[in-house]
Amino acid sequence: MANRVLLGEDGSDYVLKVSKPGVNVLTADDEELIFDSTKPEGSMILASGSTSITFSSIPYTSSWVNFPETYSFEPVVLLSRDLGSNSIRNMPETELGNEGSGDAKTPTFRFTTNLRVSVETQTSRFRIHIGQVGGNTAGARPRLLTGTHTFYYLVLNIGGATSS
Amino acid sequence: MANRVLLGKKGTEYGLWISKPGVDVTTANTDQLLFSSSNSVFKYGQVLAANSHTFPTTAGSTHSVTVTMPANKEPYVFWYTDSNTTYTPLSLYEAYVDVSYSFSGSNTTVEFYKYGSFTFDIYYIIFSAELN
Repeated sequence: MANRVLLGEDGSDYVLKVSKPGVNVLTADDEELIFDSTKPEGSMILASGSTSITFSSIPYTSSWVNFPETYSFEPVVLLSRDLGSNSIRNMPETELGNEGSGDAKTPTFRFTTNLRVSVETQTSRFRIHIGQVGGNTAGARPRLLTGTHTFYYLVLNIGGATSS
Repeated sequence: MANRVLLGKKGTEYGLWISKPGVDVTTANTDQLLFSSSNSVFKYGQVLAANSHTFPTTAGSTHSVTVTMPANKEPYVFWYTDSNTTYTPLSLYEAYVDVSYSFSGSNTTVEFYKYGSFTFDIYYIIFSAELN
């Protein structure tokens, strides 16, 4: 069985390192570690939850969603949109669709407006922007229709340090 | 050198806390921690599954991964496509992926559903964080 947990002195530093199953933590490369306290950042989750928006036109800006506290940097925020029936779609996504009928349904003639969902993050909160990017594009998918949408968010403790 | 690893009692709670380099773990703020076993506010981003999958050309093809979660809880899923995939202008719009969940006791099955009649690869990460 491999040595997988190192808690204590490692060279000139005191560390906690945990290696992947089957890998000796004493000789593991960076990508073979599950956890490494010598790295400046980790994937700890600062907050998670959901927020709903309703938009009828673009550009659209949502209300702010507050973090549990104010951080010393702007953390990474990941978004997924709830499609209902236990389904989600990852961000970013595009499209305010207008499929039309007849020839307008074919990719060649089906023009829609390109939309982009983006996240603006501050140290204490984030909000969602929906705006137009570029012009009209034939057959673009997926579509983000006007109306009410629920987004799930994950706030990661990443962004406060440089790492290589 | 800062105290960076606390294994034991902190305040009224027993657990494991690890601070970022240069930060004293006994006085660290939330965003100065690399790891905390505390459940009060935040969680560790444990990865339950991470892998890649090649979708065949057939539209509507699926790929399922089963992970262990609390009953009826949906894990956070993040995925992206392989940038080496050769897209035609139309396939770039048509080829995308949705995720759905189904539950059986403590097993949650994550199903990736692919639109479009194009083959491409995805890389996915399933976190222990709960959506609902």
